[in-house]
Amino acid sequence: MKKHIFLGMLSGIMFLCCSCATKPTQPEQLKIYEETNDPLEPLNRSIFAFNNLVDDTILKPTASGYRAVTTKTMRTGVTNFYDNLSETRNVINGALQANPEKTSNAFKRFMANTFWGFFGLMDVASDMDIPKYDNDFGQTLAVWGWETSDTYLVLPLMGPSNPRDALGTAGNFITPPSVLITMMTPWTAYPLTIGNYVQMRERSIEFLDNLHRSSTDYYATVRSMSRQNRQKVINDALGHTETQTPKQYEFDMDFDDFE
Amino acid sequence: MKKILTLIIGLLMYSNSVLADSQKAITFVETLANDMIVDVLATQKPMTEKLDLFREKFHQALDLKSIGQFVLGVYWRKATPIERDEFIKAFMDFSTKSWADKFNMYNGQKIVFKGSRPAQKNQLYIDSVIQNNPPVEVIWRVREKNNEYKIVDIVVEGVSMAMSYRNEYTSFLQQNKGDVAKLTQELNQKSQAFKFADEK
Repeated sequence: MKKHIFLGMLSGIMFLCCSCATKPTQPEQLKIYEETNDPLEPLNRSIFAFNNLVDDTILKPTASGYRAVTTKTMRTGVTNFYDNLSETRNVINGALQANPEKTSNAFKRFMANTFWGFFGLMDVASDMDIPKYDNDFGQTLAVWGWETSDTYLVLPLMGPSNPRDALGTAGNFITPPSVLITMMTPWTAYPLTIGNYVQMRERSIEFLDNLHRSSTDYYATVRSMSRQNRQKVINDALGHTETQTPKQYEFDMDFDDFE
Repeated sequence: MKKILTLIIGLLMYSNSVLADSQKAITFVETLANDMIVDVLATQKPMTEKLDLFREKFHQALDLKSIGQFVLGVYWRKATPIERDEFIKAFMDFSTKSWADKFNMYNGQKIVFKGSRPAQKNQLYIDSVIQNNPPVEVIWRVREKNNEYKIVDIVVEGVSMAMSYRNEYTSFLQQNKGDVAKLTQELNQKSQAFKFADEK
Protein backbone atom coordinates (compact mmCIF):
# COMPACT_ATOMS: atom_id res chain seq x y z
CA MET A 1 0.00 0.00 0.00
CA LYS A 2 2.79 2.40 1.03
CA LYS A 3 4.66 1.53 -2.18
CA HIS A 4 1.61 2.49 -4.28
CA ILE A 5 1.29 5.83 -2.51
CA PHE A 6 5.01 6.50 -3.00
CA LEU A 7 4.81 5.63 -6.73
CA GLY A 8 1.72 7.80 -7.10
CA MET A 9 3.46 10.76 -5.46
CA LEU A 10 6.59 10.23 -7.55
CA SER A 11 4.65 10.15 -10.82
CA GLY A 12 2.73 13.26 -9.71
CA ILE A 13 5.98 15.13 -9.02
CA MET A 14 7.45 13.96 -12.34
CA PHE A 15 4.29 15.14 -14.16
CA LEU A 16 4.53 18.57 -12.54
CA CYS A 17 8.24 18.84 -13.33
CA CYS A 18 7.66 17.87 -16.97
CA SER A 19 4.91 20.49 -17.09
CA CYS A 20 7.16 23.33 -15.94
CA ALA A 21 8.17 25.88 -18.54
CA THR A 22 11.95 26.04 -19.02
CA LYS A 23 13.39 29.28 -17.68
CA PRO A 24 15.09 31.10 -20.58
CA THR A 25 18.63 32.45 -20.22
CA GLN A 26 18.51 35.14 -22.92
CA PRO A 27 17.79 38.51 -21.12
CA GLU A 28 14.84 39.64 -23.27
CA GLN A 29 13.14 36.24 -23.15
CA LEU A 30 13.80 36.10 -19.41
CA LYS A 31 12.08 39.50 -19.04
CA ILE A 32 8.96 38.16 -20.81
CA TYR A 33 9.10 34.96 -18.72
CA GLU A 34 9.21 36.96 -15.48
CA GLU A 35 6.47 39.37 -16.62
CA THR A 36 4.23 36.42 -17.49
CA ASN A 37 4.90 34.56 -14.21
CA ASP A 38 3.47 31.30 -15.50
CA PRO A 39 6.03 28.61 -14.59
CA LEU A 40 3.43 25.85 -15.06
CA GLU A 41 2.46 27.09 -18.54
CA PRO A 42 2.53 23.70 -20.34
CA LEU A 43 0.29 22.12 -17.67
CA ASN A 44 -1.93 25.22 -17.50
CA ARG A 45 -2.34 25.18 -21.29
CA SER A 46 -3.43 21.52 -21.17
CA ILE A 47 -6.04 22.23 -18.47
CA PHE A 48 -7.18 25.32 -20.40
CA ALA A 49 -7.66 23.17 -23.53
CA PHE A 50 -9.65 20.63 -21.48
CA ASN A 51 -11.84 23.40 -20.02
CA ASN A 52 -12.47 24.77 -23.52
CA LEU A 53 -13.43 21.33 -24.75
CA VAL A 54 -15.99 21.00 -21.94
CA ASP A 55 -17.22 24.50 -22.75
CA ASP A 56 -17.55 23.86 -26.50
CA THR A 57 -19.27 20.50 -26.16
CA ILE A 58 -21.44 20.90 -23.07
CA LEU A 59 -21.57 24.28 -21.34
CA LYS A 60 -21.93 26.73 -24.24
CA PRO A 61 -24.52 24.63 -26.15
CA THR A 62 -26.54 24.26 -22.91
CA ALA A 63 -26.28 28.02 -22.27
CA SER A 64 -27.42 28.76 -25.85
CA GLY A 65 -30.32 26.31 -25.44
CA TYR A 66 -31.28 27.99 -22.16
CA ARG A 67 -31.28 31.36 -23.96
CA ALA A 68 -33.44 29.95 -26.78
CA VAL A 69 -36.21 28.71 -24.48
CA THR A 70 -36.34 31.65 -22.06
CA THR A 71 -37.18 35.34 -22.25
CA LYS A 72 -34.87 38.13 -21.06
CA THR A 73 -37.16 38.78 -18.06
CA MET A 74 -37.07 35.11 -17.04
CA ARG A 75 -33.28 35.04 -17.28
CA THR A 76 -32.96 38.23 -15.23
CA GLY A 77 -35.08 36.54 -12.55
CA VAL A 78 -32.81 33.48 -12.55
CA THR A 79 -29.66 35.62 -12.34
CA ASN A 80 -31.19 37.65 -9.49
CA PHE A 81 -32.00 34.41 -7.66
CA TYR A 82 -28.38 33.19 -7.80
CA ASP A 83 -26.99 36.65 -7.03
CA ASN A 84 -29.20 36.71 -3.96
CA LEU A 85 -27.93 33.31 -2.80
CA SER A 86 -24.36 34.60 -3.15
CA GLU A 87 -25.19 37.48 -0.77
CA THR A 88 -24.76 34.91 2.05
CA ARG A 89 -21.13 34.53 0.94
CA ASN A 90 -20.81 38.31 0.76
CA VAL A 91 -22.10 38.63 4.35
CA ILE A 92 -19.64 36.04 5.69
CA ASN A 93 -16.62 37.42 3.84
CA GLY A 94 -17.55 40.99 4.72
CA ALA A 95 -17.54 39.91 8.39
CA LEU A 96 -14.28 37.97 8.03
CA GLN A 97 -12.72 41.10 6.53
CA ALA A 98 -14.06 43.14 9.47
CA ASN A 99 -15.84 45.41 7.02
CA PRO A 100 -19.15 46.46 8.63
CA GLU A 101 -20.33 48.45 5.60
CA LYS A 102 -20.02 45.53 3.16
CA THR A 103 -21.43 43.05 5.71
CA SER A 104 -24.50 45.11 6.54
CA ASN A 105 -25.23 46.01 2.92
CA ALA A 106 -25.00 42.36 1.82
CA PHE A 107 -27.26 41.37 4.73
CA LYS A 108 -29.79 44.10 3.87
CA ARG A 109 -29.75 43.05 0.22
CA PHE A 110 -30.33 39.40 1.12
CA MET A 111 -33.22 40.19 3.48
CA ALA A 112 -34.87 42.67 1.09
CA ASN A 113 -34.60 40.44 -1.97
CA THR A 114 -35.61 37.24 -0.14
CA PHE A 115 -38.70 38.66 1.56
CA TRP A 116 -39.86 41.38 -0.84
CA GLY A 117 -38.32 40.04 -4.02
CA PHE A 118 -39.99 36.58 -4.11
CA PHE A 119 -36.99 34.56 -2.82
CA GLY A 120 -34.55 36.70 -4.74
CA LEU A 121 -36.20 36.58 -8.17
CA MET A 122 -36.55 40.37 -8.09
CA ASP A 123 -33.70 42.71 -7.19
CA VAL A 124 -35.65 45.16 -5.04
CA ALA A 125 -32.48 45.95 -3.07
CA SER A 126 -30.96 47.75 -6.08
CA ASP A 127 -34.17 49.76 -6.49
CA MET A 128 -33.67 50.74 -2.83
CA ASP A 129 -30.10 51.86 -3.76
CA ILE A 130 -28.39 49.34 -1.49
CA PRO A 131 -24.89 48.96 -3.01
CA LYS A 132 -23.84 45.56 -4.33
CA TYR A 133 -20.36 44.08 -3.78
CA ASP A 134 -19.03 40.71 -4.79
CA ASN A 135 -17.00 39.29 -1.97
CA ASP A 136 -15.20 35.96 -1.88
CA PHE A 137 -12.76 34.03 0.24
CA GLY A 138 -9.80 34.90 -2.03
CA GLN A 139 -10.42 38.59 -1.23
CA THR A 140 -10.62 37.71 2.47
CA LEU A 141 -7.21 36.00 2.30
CA ALA A 142 -5.83 39.15 0.63
CA VAL A 143 -7.26 41.33 3.42
CA TRP A 144 -5.71 38.96 5.96
CA GLY A 145 -2.29 39.66 4.50
CA TRP A 146 -1.80 37.45 1.44
CA GLU A 147 -1.88 40.49 -0.85
CA THR A 148 0.32 39.27 -3.70
CA SER A 149 -0.21 35.95 -5.41
CA ASP A 150 0.77 36.26 -9.06
CA THR A 151 1.75 32.74 -10.11
CA TYR A 152 -0.81 31.79 -12.73
CA LEU A 153 -2.86 28.62 -12.31
CA VAL A 154 -5.69 27.20 -14.41
CA LEU A 155 -8.04 25.06 -12.34
CA PRO A 156 -9.96 22.22 -13.99
CA LEU A 157 -13.52 23.44 -14.77
CA MET A 158 -13.00 26.54 -12.59
CA GLY A 159 -10.63 28.44 -14.90
CA PRO A 160 -7.99 31.13 -14.21
CA SER A 161 -6.62 31.40 -10.68
CA ASN A 162 -3.50 31.71 -8.52
CA PRO A 163 -2.42 29.94 -5.29
CA ARG A 164 -4.29 32.36 -2.99
CA ASP A 165 -7.50 32.32 -5.01
CA ALA A 166 -7.33 28.53 -5.47
CA LEU A 167 -7.38 28.23 -1.68
CA GLY A 168 -10.13 30.85 -1.69
CA THR A 169 -12.17 28.70 -4.10
CA ALA A 170 -11.85 25.80 -1.66
CA GLY A 171 -12.98 28.18 1.10
CA ASN A 172 -16.00 29.19 -0.98
CA PHE A 173 -17.03 25.52 -1.22
CA ILE A 174 -17.16 25.09 2.54
CA THR A 175 -19.07 28.31 3.25
CA PRO A 176 -22.62 29.34 2.22
CA PRO A 177 -24.25 29.22 -0.22
CA SER A 178 -22.24 26.25 -1.62
CA VAL A 179 -22.21 24.33 1.65
CA LEU A 180 -25.97 24.83 2.09
CA ILE A 181 -26.61 23.54 -1.43
CA THR A 182 -24.48 20.41 -0.84
CA MET A 183 -26.57 19.70 2.28
CA MET A 184 -29.71 19.47 0.13
CA THR A 185 -30.91 16.29 -1.58
CA PRO A 186 -29.02 15.47 -4.81
CA TRP A 187 -32.20 16.17 -6.79
CA THR A 188 -32.10 19.77 -5.60
CA ALA A 189 -28.35 20.29 -5.21
CA TYR A 190 -27.25 19.17 -8.71
CA PRO A 191 -29.79 21.18 -10.78
CA LEU A 192 -29.16 24.21 -8.57
CA THR A 193 -25.37 24.01 -9.06
CA ILE A 194 -25.52 23.24 -12.79
CA GLY A 195 -28.13 25.98 -13.26
CA ASN A 196 -25.71 28.52 -11.82
CA TYR A 197 -22.94 27.57 -14.28
CA VAL A 198 -25.41 27.71 -17.20
CA GLN A 199 -26.83 31.13 -16.32
CA MET A 200 -23.32 32.55 -15.78
CA ARG A 201 -22.16 31.19 -19.14
CA GLU A 202 -25.25 32.55 -20.91
CA ARG A 203 -24.38 36.06 -19.72
CA SER A 204 -20.90 35.88 -21.24
CA ILE A 205 -21.70 34.33 -24.66
CA GLU A 206 -21.04 37.51 -26.69
CA PHE A 207 -18.07 38.65 -24.65
CA LEU A 208 -16.22 35.32 -24.87
CA ASP A 209 -17.13 34.86 -28.55
CA ASN A 210 -15.65 38.29 -29.29
CA LEU A 211 -12.53 37.49 -27.27
CA HIS A 212 -12.02 34.09 -28.89
CA ARG A 213 -12.58 35.48 -32.39
CA SER A 214 -10.10 38.31 -31.95
CA SER A 215 -7.28 36.54 -30.09
CA THR A 216 -4.09 35.36 -31.72
CA ASP A 217 -3.36 33.37 -28.55
CA TYR A 218 -6.59 32.84 -26.60
CA TYR A 219 -4.78 31.32 -23.61
CA ALA A 220 -2.47 34.35 -23.25
CA THR A 221 -5.39 36.79 -23.65
CA VAL A 222 -7.44 35.10 -20.93
CA ARG A 223 -4.37 34.90 -18.67
CA SER A 224 -3.63 38.60 -19.04
CA MET A 225 -7.20 39.88 -18.73
CA SER A 226 -8.29 37.65 -15.85
CA ARG A 227 -5.15 38.49 -13.89
CA GLN A 228 -5.56 42.26 -14.37
CA ASN A 229 -9.25 42.18 -13.50
CA ARG A 230 -8.62 40.05 -10.42
CA GLN A 231 -5.93 42.48 -9.26
CA LYS A 232 -8.49 45.29 -9.45
CA VAL A 233 -10.97 43.26 -7.36
CA ILE A 234 -8.22 42.62 -4.79
CA ASN A 235 -7.20 46.31 -4.76
CA ASP A 236 -10.83 47.25 -4.13
CA ALA A 237 -11.08 44.71 -1.28
CA LEU A 238 -7.90 46.10 0.25
CA GLY A 239 -9.43 49.56 0.05
CA HIS A 240 -6.56 50.91 -2.02
CA THR A 241 -7.52 54.39 -3.14
CA GLU A 242 -6.60 55.97 -6.45
CA THR A 243 -3.55 57.65 -4.95
CA GLN A 244 -2.11 54.40 -3.60
CA THR A 245 0.10 53.17 -6.37
CA PRO A 246 1.16 51.36 -8.39
CA LYS A 247 -1.95 49.76 -9.83
CA GLN A 248 -1.77 46.98 -12.38
CA TYR A 249 -2.47 49.45 -15.22
CA GLU A 250 0.15 51.99 -14.08
CA PHE A 251 3.08 50.74 -16.11
CA ASP A 252 5.54 52.83 -18.10
CA MET A 253 4.55 53.66 -21.65
CA ASP A 254 7.50 55.15 -23.50
CA PHE A 255 7.28 55.74 -27.22
CA ASP A 256 9.60 56.47 -30.10
CA ASP A 257 7.80 59.32 -31.81
CA PHE A 258 6.46 58.84 -35.31
CA GLU A 259 6.67 61.94 -37.44
CA MET B 1 11.00 88.38 -0.24
CA LYS B 2 10.85 89.16 -3.91
CA LYS B 3 12.21 85.69 -4.68
CA ILE B 4 9.55 84.02 -2.53
CA LEU B 5 6.83 86.09 -4.20
CA THR B 6 8.11 85.11 -7.66
CA LEU B 7 8.18 81.47 -6.57
CA ILE B 8 4.59 81.61 -5.27
CA ILE B 9 3.34 83.33 -8.43
CA GLY B 10 5.26 80.81 -10.53
CA LEU B 11 3.76 77.87 -8.59
CA LEU B 12 0.25 79.33 -8.87
CA MET B 13 0.64 79.80 -12.60
CA TYR B 14 2.01 76.26 -12.94
CA SER B 15 -0.85 74.69 -10.95
CA ASN B 16 -3.36 76.76 -12.95
CA SER B 17 -1.90 75.58 -16.24
CA VAL B 18 -1.90 71.94 -14.99
CA LEU B 19 -5.55 72.33 -13.98
CA ALA B 20 -6.42 73.87 -17.33
CA ASP B 21 -4.58 71.05 -19.14
CA SER B 22 -6.32 68.32 -17.18
CA GLN B 23 -9.70 69.98 -17.82
CA LYS B 24 -8.85 70.10 -21.53
CA ALA B 25 -8.01 66.39 -21.47
CA ILE B 26 -11.25 65.52 -19.66
CA THR B 27 -13.26 67.56 -22.18
CA PHE B 28 -11.46 65.78 -25.02
CA VAL B 29 -12.42 62.29 -23.74
CA GLU B 30 -15.92 63.39 -22.72
CA THR B 31 -16.59 64.85 -26.18
CA LEU B 32 -15.25 61.72 -27.84
CA ALA B 33 -17.46 59.40 -25.74
CA ASN B 34 -20.48 61.59 -26.42
CA ASP B 35 -19.78 61.79 -30.17
CA MET B 36 -19.36 58.03 -30.39
CA ILE B 37 -22.73 57.46 -28.72
CA VAL B 38 -24.72 60.20 -30.45
CA ASP B 39 -23.12 60.29 -33.92
CA VAL B 40 -22.24 56.61 -34.35
CA LEU B 41 -24.24 54.28 -32.13
CA ALA B 42 -27.56 56.11 -32.07
CA THR B 43 -27.78 56.91 -35.79
CA GLN B 44 -30.04 54.91 -38.06
CA LYS B 45 -27.39 54.55 -40.78
CA PRO B 46 -26.43 51.18 -42.33
CA MET B 47 -23.80 49.21 -40.40
CA THR B 48 -21.05 49.74 -43.01
CA GLU B 49 -21.48 53.52 -42.77
CA LYS B 50 -21.48 53.33 -38.99
CA LEU B 51 -18.22 51.39 -39.12
CA ASP B 52 -16.63 54.05 -41.36
CA LEU B 53 -17.73 56.77 -38.93
CA PHE B 54 -16.40 54.77 -36.01
CA ARG B 55 -13.08 54.24 -37.77
CA GLU B 56 -12.69 57.96 -38.49
CA LYS B 57 -13.29 58.98 -34.86
CA PHE B 58 -11.30 56.07 -33.43
CA HIS B 59 -8.23 56.90 -35.54
CA GLN B 60 -8.49 60.60 -34.67
CA ALA B 61 -8.73 59.98 -30.93
CA LEU B 62 -6.32 57.07 -30.37
CA ASP B 63 -2.59 57.14 -30.96
CA LEU B 64 -2.71 53.70 -32.60
CA LYS B 65 0.81 53.96 -34.01
CA SER B 66 2.30 54.45 -30.56
CA ILE B 67 0.06 51.76 -29.04
CA GLY B 68 1.12 49.39 -31.84
CA GLN B 69 4.75 50.05 -30.96
CA PHE B 70 4.10 49.41 -27.25
CA VAL B 71 2.21 46.15 -27.80
CA LEU B 72 5.10 44.54 -29.68
CA GLY B 73 7.24 44.89 -26.52
CA VAL B 74 10.82 43.70 -26.95
CA TYR B 75 10.04 42.58 -30.50
CA TRP B 76 9.57 46.18 -31.74
CA ARG B 77 13.31 46.82 -31.67
CA LYS B 78 14.03 43.57 -33.49
CA ALA B 79 11.53 44.13 -36.32
CA THR B 80 12.67 45.63 -39.64
CA PRO B 81 11.15 49.00 -40.74
CA ILE B 82 8.97 47.20 -43.32
CA GLU B 83 7.76 44.67 -40.72
CA ARG B 84 6.95 47.54 -38.35
CA ASP B 85 4.94 49.43 -40.99
CA GLU B 86 3.01 46.33 -42.04
CA PHE B 87 2.29 45.43 -38.43
CA ILE B 88 1.07 48.94 -37.56
CA LYS B 89 -1.30 48.91 -40.56
CA ALA B 90 -2.68 45.48 -39.59
CA PHE B 91 -2.96 46.46 -35.91
CA MET B 92 -4.83 49.68 -36.71
CA ASP B 93 -7.38 47.86 -38.86
CA PHE B 94 -7.74 44.97 -36.43
CA SER B 95 -8.12 47.03 -33.25
CA THR B 96 -10.66 49.32 -34.94
CA LYS B 97 -12.87 46.36 -35.91
CA SER B 98 -12.41 44.63 -32.58
CA TRP B 99 -13.46 47.77 -30.65
CA ALA B 100 -16.35 48.44 -33.03
CA ASP B 101 -17.52 44.91 -32.25
CA LYS B 102 -17.24 45.56 -28.49
CA PHE B 103 -18.87 48.99 -28.82
CA ASN B 104 -21.88 47.36 -30.48
CA MET B 105 -22.64 45.66 -27.15
CA TYR B 106 -22.91 49.00 -25.34
CA ASN B 107 -26.47 49.46 -24.13
CA GLY B 108 -26.57 53.23 -23.80
CA GLN B 109 -25.77 53.51 -20.07
CA LYS B 110 -24.64 56.94 -18.90
CA ILE B 111 -20.89 57.65 -18.56
CA VAL B 112 -19.89 59.98 -15.72
CA PHE B 113 -16.43 61.60 -15.74
CA LYS B 114 -14.93 61.96 -12.27
CA GLY B 115 -11.61 63.75 -12.80
CA SER B 116 -8.00 63.23 -13.72
CA ARG B 117 -4.70 62.10 -12.18
CA PRO B 118 -1.15 62.51 -13.45
CA ALA B 119 0.50 59.49 -15.06
CA GLN B 120 4.07 59.61 -16.32
CA LYS B 121 5.48 62.62 -18.23
CA ASN B 122 2.92 64.27 -20.57
CA GLN B 123 0.31 61.65 -19.66
CA LEU B 124 -2.87 61.71 -17.57
CA TYR B 125 -5.44 59.19 -16.34
CA ILE B 126 -9.06 60.30 -16.78
CA ASP B 127 -11.40 58.44 -14.41
CA SER B 128 -14.94 57.62 -15.49
CA VAL B 129 -17.76 55.29 -14.52
CA ILE B 130 -20.43 53.64 -16.66
CA GLN B 131 -23.56 53.76 -14.52
CA ASN B 132 -24.59 50.16 -14.23
CA ASN B 133 -25.30 47.91 -11.25
CA PRO B 134 -22.58 47.24 -10.26
CA PRO B 135 -20.90 50.27 -11.91
CA VAL B 136 -18.18 49.72 -14.54
CA GLU B 137 -14.93 51.65 -14.02
CA VAL B 138 -13.28 53.01 -17.19
CA ILE B 139 -9.92 54.80 -17.07
CA TRP B 140 -8.60 56.64 -20.14
CA ARG B 141 -4.86 57.17 -20.38
CA VAL B 142 -4.17 60.22 -22.52
CA ARG B 143 -0.92 61.64 -23.80
CA GLU B 144 -0.27 65.24 -24.74
CA LYS B 145 1.88 65.80 -27.80
CA ASN B 146 2.22 69.07 -29.76
CA ASN B 147 -0.59 70.56 -27.69
CA GLU B 148 -2.96 67.81 -28.76
CA TYR B 149 -4.39 64.92 -26.75
CA LYS B 150 -4.52 61.31 -27.90
CA ILE B 151 -5.64 58.20 -26.03
CA VAL B 152 -2.87 55.64 -25.49
CA ASP B 153 -4.76 53.16 -23.29
CA ILE B 154 -8.29 52.33 -22.13
CA VAL B 155 -8.62 50.42 -18.84
CA VAL B 156 -12.00 48.72 -18.27
CA GLU B 157 -12.52 47.21 -14.80
CA GLY B 158 -8.77 47.07 -14.26
CA VAL B 159 -8.03 45.48 -17.65
CA SER B 160 -5.69 47.57 -19.77
CA MET B 161 -6.21 47.30 -23.52
CA ALA B 162 -2.53 48.02 -24.26
CA MET B 163 -1.18 45.54 -21.71
CA SER B 164 -3.61 42.80 -22.80
CA TYR B 165 -2.54 43.14 -26.44
CA ARG B 166 1.12 43.26 -25.42
CA ASN B 167 0.85 40.08 -23.30
CA GLU B 168 -1.03 38.29 -26.07
CA TYR B 169 1.31 39.30 -28.92
CA THR B 170 4.55 38.65 -27.05
CA SER B 171 3.21 35.20 -26.17
CA PHE B 172 2.32 34.58 -29.83
CA LEU B 173 5.76 35.80 -30.95
CA GLN B 174 7.53 33.74 -28.30
CA GLN B 175 5.94 30.63 -29.73
CA ASN B 176 6.64 31.66 -33.32
CA LYS B 177 10.35 32.49 -33.04
CA GLY B 178 9.70 36.25 -32.96
CA ASP B 179 8.25 36.24 -36.49
CA VAL B 180 6.47 39.66 -36.63
CA ALA B 181 5.38 39.08 -40.26
CA LYS B 182 3.48 35.98 -39.11
CA LEU B 183 1.71 37.99 -36.40
CA THR B 184 0.78 40.62 -39.02
CA GLN B 185 -0.62 37.91 -41.28
CA GLU B 186 -2.62 36.47 -38.36
CA LEU B 187 -4.05 39.91 -37.51
CA ASN B 188 -5.07 40.49 -41.14
CA GLN B 189 -6.90 37.17 -41.14
CA LYS B 190 -8.61 38.02 -37.84
CA SER B 191 -9.70 41.40 -39.23
CA GLN B 192 -11.36 39.75 -42.23
CA ALA B 193 -13.29 37.42 -39.94
CA PHE B 194 -15.25 40.30 -38.35
CA LYS B 195 -18.70 40.51 -39.84
CA PHE B 196 -20.75 43.65 -39.41
CA ALA B 197 -24.28 42.82 -40.47
CA ASP B 198 -26.51 45.70 -41.55
CA GLU B 199 -29.17 44.67 -39.10
CA LYS B 200 -28.21 43.86 -35.59
